[in-house]
Amino acid sequence: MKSSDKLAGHTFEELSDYLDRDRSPADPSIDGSPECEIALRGMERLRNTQRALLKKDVELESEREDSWVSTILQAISIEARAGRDIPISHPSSTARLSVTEGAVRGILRAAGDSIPNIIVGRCRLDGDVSEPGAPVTVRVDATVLEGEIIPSLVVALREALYVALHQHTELAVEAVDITIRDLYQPVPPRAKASSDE
Amino acid sequence: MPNTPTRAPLASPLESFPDQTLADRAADGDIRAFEVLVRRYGPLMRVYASRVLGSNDEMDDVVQESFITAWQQLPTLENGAAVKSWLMRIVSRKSVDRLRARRHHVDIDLTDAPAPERHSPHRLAEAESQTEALTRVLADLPEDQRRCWMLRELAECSYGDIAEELELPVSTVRGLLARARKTLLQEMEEWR
Amino acid sequence: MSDAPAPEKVTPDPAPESPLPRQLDELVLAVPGVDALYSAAPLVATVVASVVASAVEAVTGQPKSNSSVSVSEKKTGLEIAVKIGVTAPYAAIDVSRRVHDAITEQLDQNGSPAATEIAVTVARID
Repeated sequence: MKSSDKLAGHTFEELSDYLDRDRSPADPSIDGSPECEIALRGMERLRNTQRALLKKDVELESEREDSWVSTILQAISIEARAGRDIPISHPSSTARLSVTEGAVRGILRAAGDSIPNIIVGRCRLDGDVSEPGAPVTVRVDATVLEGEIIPSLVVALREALYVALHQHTELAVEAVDITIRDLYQPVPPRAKASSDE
Repeated sequence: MPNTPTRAPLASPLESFPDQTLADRAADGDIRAFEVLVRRYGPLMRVYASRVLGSNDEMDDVVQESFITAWQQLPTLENGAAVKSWLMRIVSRKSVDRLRARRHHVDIDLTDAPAPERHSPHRLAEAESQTEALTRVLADLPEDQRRCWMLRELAECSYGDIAEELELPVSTVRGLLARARKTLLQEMEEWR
Repeated sequence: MSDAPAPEKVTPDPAPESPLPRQLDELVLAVPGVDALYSAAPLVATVVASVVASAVEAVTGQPKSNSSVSVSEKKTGLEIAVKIGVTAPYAAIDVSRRVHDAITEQLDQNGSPAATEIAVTVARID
């Protein structure tokens, strides 16, 4: 009944672990044992059954009308990401005009998105942005499509970021630092199971 | 947002962005990037919640709470590439909280799932779906084993992530997982 | 008028002039480039609220509306706060200035007390 009691000197735990390591590095004392093989196959069968059920259920969930998505989106707010207030000047003494740091990060992303094959990730404004005229350095992370000529994309991105900053803020931008973090490959739209199968 | 369309914009390039970029942008306040994450992992999270709770009744609430927490805490996520496992850990936590609250509410002092009944009730319902059967077998597992197994098999968390989430040493996680698998395997042979 | 909301007074007939915050809501939304209005949580008002509640009520015509533009009254005059979203081809700098100017003009037309501060925050640019 308990096929797993004698497993060629291995514990069930070792086999379970071995399975999760994708049987790598190969252990001949496990691979060569019929008892171990039975236990491993059992666990694989269990995993495959579970995955098939999960896949089916997730697909069913994906097909549902997505009012639940809008409910979630309505419940979150941009307030949480407003950041600092960046002043905008006005001749009137009654005016206290500003644009939030969060809004500025938004236009930096949008500016980046206007350039094909480069994706802007994190954006940071370093410096005392709430002090008019204080020097500010803009730091942006980006990912570039594999095979693209990086320097020319970076030039185009920097230009677009300057234009956007100039249009919407009065920040004294000293530098725009762009870090290419990674390359990306053209991804098929359905990027679901990212891990190994 | 005022002009968010109810249907997903089909051609949005965001949909093909890697997790890391989406998580980074959402951390910076990009609601559209967050929406893509919601659509990408929401269905899995919903299934996860319904498996833990054994019903769909509270699934919507739990998943919604999970995403609201995620939105608030995203800026603290150091590695955006790990956003899936991070989200799954949140939904796991929220589901278990809900389950405990429910038990507490019902006022039955179950310290854990009901003791496994040895006469194998799973065979009784031949007509039940495999999902239901698996859910029932899982329900018979001790809670720590079940959580471990689900975090590994459904959420695809690493041993390290599971250990962190359950506040256990990795060696304990390994042991719990093996025990869960062993039991499930035995049970599965019974309803096969 | 007392601090406590009087239960017997159930919303009187709509005044010929709509209450100030709501009037400003409409005004701000009509400024080219403004595509959204967010609730401008009054920064100071929460502290001063209880003190000036009646004064504000007198000016605005209602105690606490669900208007997005926030109007509060201090001894020196009105303090107005607006939080907006700006749509793409427009520049945040220009739009925020225009919103300020439109409000100033409207207060002038209304014959309302002058504002001592008009805070316009651009919270989103699309």
